[in-house]
This record gives sequence, C-alpha cells and structure tokens, in this order.
Amino acid sequence: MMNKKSIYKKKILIVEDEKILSEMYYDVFIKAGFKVFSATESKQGLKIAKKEKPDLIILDILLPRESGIFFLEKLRQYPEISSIPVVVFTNYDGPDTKEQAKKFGVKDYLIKANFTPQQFVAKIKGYLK
Amino acid sequence: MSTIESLIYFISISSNFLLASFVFLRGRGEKINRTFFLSVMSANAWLVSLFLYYNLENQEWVLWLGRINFAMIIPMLYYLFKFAAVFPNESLFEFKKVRRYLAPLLVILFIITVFTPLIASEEIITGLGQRETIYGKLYGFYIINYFSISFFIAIFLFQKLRKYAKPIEKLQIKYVLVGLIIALMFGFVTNIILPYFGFFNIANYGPLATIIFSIFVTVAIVKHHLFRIKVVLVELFVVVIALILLVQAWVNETTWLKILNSSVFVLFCIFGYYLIKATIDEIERREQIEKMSKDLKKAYKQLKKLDIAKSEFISIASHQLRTPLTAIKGYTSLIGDKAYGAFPLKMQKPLTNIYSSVERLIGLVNDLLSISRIEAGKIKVEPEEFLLEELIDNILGELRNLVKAKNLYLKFKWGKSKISSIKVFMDKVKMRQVILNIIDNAIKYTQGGGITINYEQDKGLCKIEIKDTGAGMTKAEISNLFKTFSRGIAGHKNWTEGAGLGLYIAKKFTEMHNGRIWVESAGMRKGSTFYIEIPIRYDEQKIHLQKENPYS
Repeated sequence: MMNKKSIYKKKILIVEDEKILSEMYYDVFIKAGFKVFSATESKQGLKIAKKEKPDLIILDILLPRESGIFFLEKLRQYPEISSIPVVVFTNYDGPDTKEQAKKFGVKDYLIKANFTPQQFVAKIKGYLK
Repeated sequence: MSTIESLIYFISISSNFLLASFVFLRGRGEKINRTFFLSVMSANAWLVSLFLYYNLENQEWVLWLGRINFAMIIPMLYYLFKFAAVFPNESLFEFKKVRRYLAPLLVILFIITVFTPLIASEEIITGLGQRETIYGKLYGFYIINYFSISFFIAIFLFQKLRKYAKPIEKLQIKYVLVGLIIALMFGFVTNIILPYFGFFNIANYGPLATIIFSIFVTVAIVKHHLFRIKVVLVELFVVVIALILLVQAWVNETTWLKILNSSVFVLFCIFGYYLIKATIDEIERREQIEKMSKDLKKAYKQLKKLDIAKSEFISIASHQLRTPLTAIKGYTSLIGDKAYGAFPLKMQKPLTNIYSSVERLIGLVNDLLSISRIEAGKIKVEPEEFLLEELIDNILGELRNLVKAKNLYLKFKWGKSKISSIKVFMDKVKMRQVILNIIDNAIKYTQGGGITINYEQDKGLCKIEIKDTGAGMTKAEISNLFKTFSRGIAGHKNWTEGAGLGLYIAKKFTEMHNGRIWVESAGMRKGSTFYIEIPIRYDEQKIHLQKENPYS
C-alpha cells in the first residue's frame, strides 16, 4: 500500500503558449517527480484535461485564440473535470481579469516573474498536499 | 361688428401668421413645418373671408363670401389630414396613398361649394353685420365630410400615440391631439351647430379656435427646443398687447387721449423690444451652456475610453516585458541551484549579479504597473489574515543573497516587547511590496555595516523599524523622498537614482491601509531609519470616512 502510494506520480497539466517558459517548467516539474502534460492553447488543454484528469492545472491567461478565462469557463461546464484545482500562472495582471478568474474559483493568481521555478514548484506542492 | 369681434379676428389672424411663420422659418425644408404652415394659412384665408363676409354690406359679395367661407374649410381639413400623416414622422403610412383618393374628392367638393347653391343656397343680410344662411340640398353631405375627415385625423393620431414608442414623440402627438380636438370642437360649435340653430353671429368667435390649434401645434413642433417656445410666447404677447394699444389709440376721439395712448404704445414697443431681446439672450445663454455641458460630457467619455486603453496597454506591455525576464530569472536560479550540473566557483558571483539585476528589472516593471494603477485610482486593498513576521522573514530570505554580495548584515529583531503577535488583516501582496521596497532601498544606500529590522505590535498597530548604517539624508532629501518622477523632481539637483518609485509606492500602499510611513536621519553618513505604522486590522469603512472628510 505504502509502496504503491509513493510510486503514484501526481499529474499536472501546464497550459502555456510561451515555448521557452513551457519547457523550463516542464523540466522542473519532471525533476520534482510529477507527470507533466503540456498544452499551448485552451481547446487543446481542455482535451488533455478530459483525457488525463490531472490533479492540478497551471493556466496562463494570454493564450492564442481563446483566453485562459475561456478555458476556465469551459472547464467548469464538464462535470468530470470541473473540480480540478486551477492555479493561474501568468505575467498578465489586469485587475478585471484577476477578478474574473477568482470568480471561477481558481486556487491562486500568481505572477510568473515573481517566482523562481523552484519557488513555484514548492507552491504547487503545497496545494497538492 | 363690435370692436371686440374685430379684435378677435385681428389677433387670431396675426398670431396664427406669426406662429406659422416662426415654425416655417425654423425648418424651411421640413415637410412637417411646411404642412403646418399651409394648414394655418388656409385657416387664415378662411378667417379673412369670414371677416369680409360680416363687414361688406353688398348682397352679391356676401353670397360669394359666404360660399367661400364654407369652401375654405376644405383645404384646411386637407392640410390637417396631411399634417396628421407626417407628424412627427411619416413612418406609419405614406400620405401619397390617401392623397390619390382624397384630393380629387375635395377639389370637387370645393368647386360645388363655391359655384353652386348646393351647400349654401342663399346668404341674407338681416342687418348691419347680421347674416343668415339658407342651406343647400347637399349641406348634410358637407357636414358628414367635415366630420369624417376630423374623425379620421383624430383616430389616426390616436393610433400613432399607441404605436410610437419614443416619449418625446408621444408627448408631441398628445399636444397636437389636444389642440386639434379643442379647435375642431370649438369651431364646430361656434360655426356650424349654433348658426344652424339661428345664432349666426356667434361664428365671429370661431377664429379663436384656430389660435388654440396654432399654439398647441407650435409647442409640439418645437418640443425638441423647449427653450425657443418661450421666445415665441413672449413675442406673441408683445405683439398682441401692442396691437391692442394701437387700436385703442386709434379709436380714441379726443386728441390728447390719442397722443397719450400713442405714447403708451411707443413706450410699450420699446419695452417689448427689450423684453424679447432679453428673453432671446437668456435662452441663447442657456443653449450655450447646454451645448457646453454636452461637449464636456463627450470629452469626458473620450477621456475615459483613452484611460481604459491606457491601462490595457500598460497591462499588456508589462506582460510582454515580464515574459523574457521570467525566463532569465528562472534559468539563472536553476543554474545557480546546479540543476544543470556543477559550475566553477568563480561563476557564482556573476550568476548572483545576473539574478539580482533581473530581480531589479522585474521590480521596476511591477513598480511601474503599480504606479499607473495608483494614479488611475484603480488599486483596491484585498485584505487577508496572515502573520506579518512570516512575511518579513520570507522577504529577508529573498534578500539574503543581495546582502551577502555587499558584505552587509541583515538582522531581524522581532518584538521589543516580547509579546507574541497576532495575525494581521492586510493586503499581503501590497504589504510585501511596502516592506521589500524599504529594505531594498536601505541595502542600496548602505556600503558598510548593515540593516536591522524591528517589528512589534502595540496598541492595535504594527510597527516596523528599518534601520541602516548607510548614507543618511539631509532634511531637503527627506522632504522629497516619497515622491515620484511625475511630481517633477526628475530634474531636481538632489535627485538620486531609484529613490522615487519604490518609496512612493510604499507610501501609497501604507496610506491605503490607513497607516503612515516616515524616515528619520541624523544627517549625512549617519544612517537612516524608516518607520512603518499600520493598524493590525484593515478597516475599509474608516478609509472611506477619511476620504470623504479630509479635515477630520
């Protein structure tokens, strides 16, 4: 039982269109022992979320085509994935957007530039405890 | 005909003419104005023929004029019908469609009325200004025609009242309806019903009906420009009184009364001129003010739009700036953590320098964003409960590398009074920026020694003291310390790089929490101490109260 639990890797989905950042966070989370899925836009992210049912979703706001807010709205409409916790991780902090995201019940709205990857991993680990 | 009766004609014709001309001149090209003008003019034609009918004592003339009286009602009804169709606009149906049938019918009726004895067969002079009409065989048809057209006009307007949605249009139609119904009923009673029963001379009061109509419709047409109607009414008043005075001067028999009355007339004309001028002046001023306030509203709207565009631009721009900075910061910190393997020891310092530089840049972007929002008044305090000493500890952890690189010490003394602290209720993100900015500033200006931070809670206040052994400040420097570039000190001689943004934000954020921030220094090279005092619990109401009551 104990053994099985330690083998089980937490799954996270990173929805991020900036390739450099996406790769950087991917590497860090893999190294920290997560199973990581990446998406570069909202619809792709929703598809992966439905298929993989991650334990947590890291969501950028300014995405190509549909925004992160669109992603949240859709996510909450599908019962099988609607309760997955979401942490918004973006460099865009328009006050209105922040408020909208909070309305969709996101765990947190964090500004990427204010965190090193290590700090961010620690933060995510905290949410998954 | 008595003077009163003559006066009624005189006043009716002239005021109708004034009102119709006023409406016509205001909108020469407009169908409504034109139609109104024509319907009032046909009414005036009727009044003129009626006046002559009672005043000429020639049998042949009286017969012709009597028939013309009946006939002149016909074009009047035609134009009234047209007016009802086009007022306030022609959206319900097109008048053209009715005109095809209505116009020939009315032309025939007009010819019959004037040239045959079928409507009025005879007009008898029964005395001076006394007339009697012997009705023709088709008189009943004439009355039915009068009634049915009046009825259609009224029905038509009622239908418009029901179908038109705009309040202003409804109001306009109501005015026309009221004026029309009063006028038609009044005219019907004085000029058709009562004469039918033998009261022929009562027809001399019929002209008053036309004024009622003219006034109501003029008000309705100029309803958009309510101010202007005041001028019309004043003009009307002045002209009518002047005419009465003139007639009075004219009918007086003794010369000296004539002179007296004439001078009253002249004086009144002068007075009337200034009265009208004053009214126009006043109204023009009011219109000007209205226009100005409209312009202002427009400008304000545009400014608001610009403001939204500006803050959107700043949000996007800072996002764009932050993205590459995030990558630099991330990779530098990963390399420093040996995530990509060990590196030579001599690389530690350059790496730390890259890291602290990028941190500074990120801080600047954050500061710029904060300032633009503070200036736009768009920042809200979002309080939460947390332990302030933990936040301070956290910040100190982040600054550790920076301090080490400068060979300074960084001490945190928690609670002089040794009383354990309670959770505070503040905006954590903003408090972080306040404390970080002050300590960062202290590090920047300290070359030897170090920084000591003291935190305690006392009398409902959080007190943070940040004491450095740095450059110290003169009084002049202190007084300019918490201001931004935008306050015009960029060109100031004593300006020191970087002292503006961070401290200004710290001050603003502290004030948003109803707290205060200040600095003391014994002078140059004697170090400085920054003090922050903030109520332990953020109280929104208290802040608002202070805003409303700056002198309390």
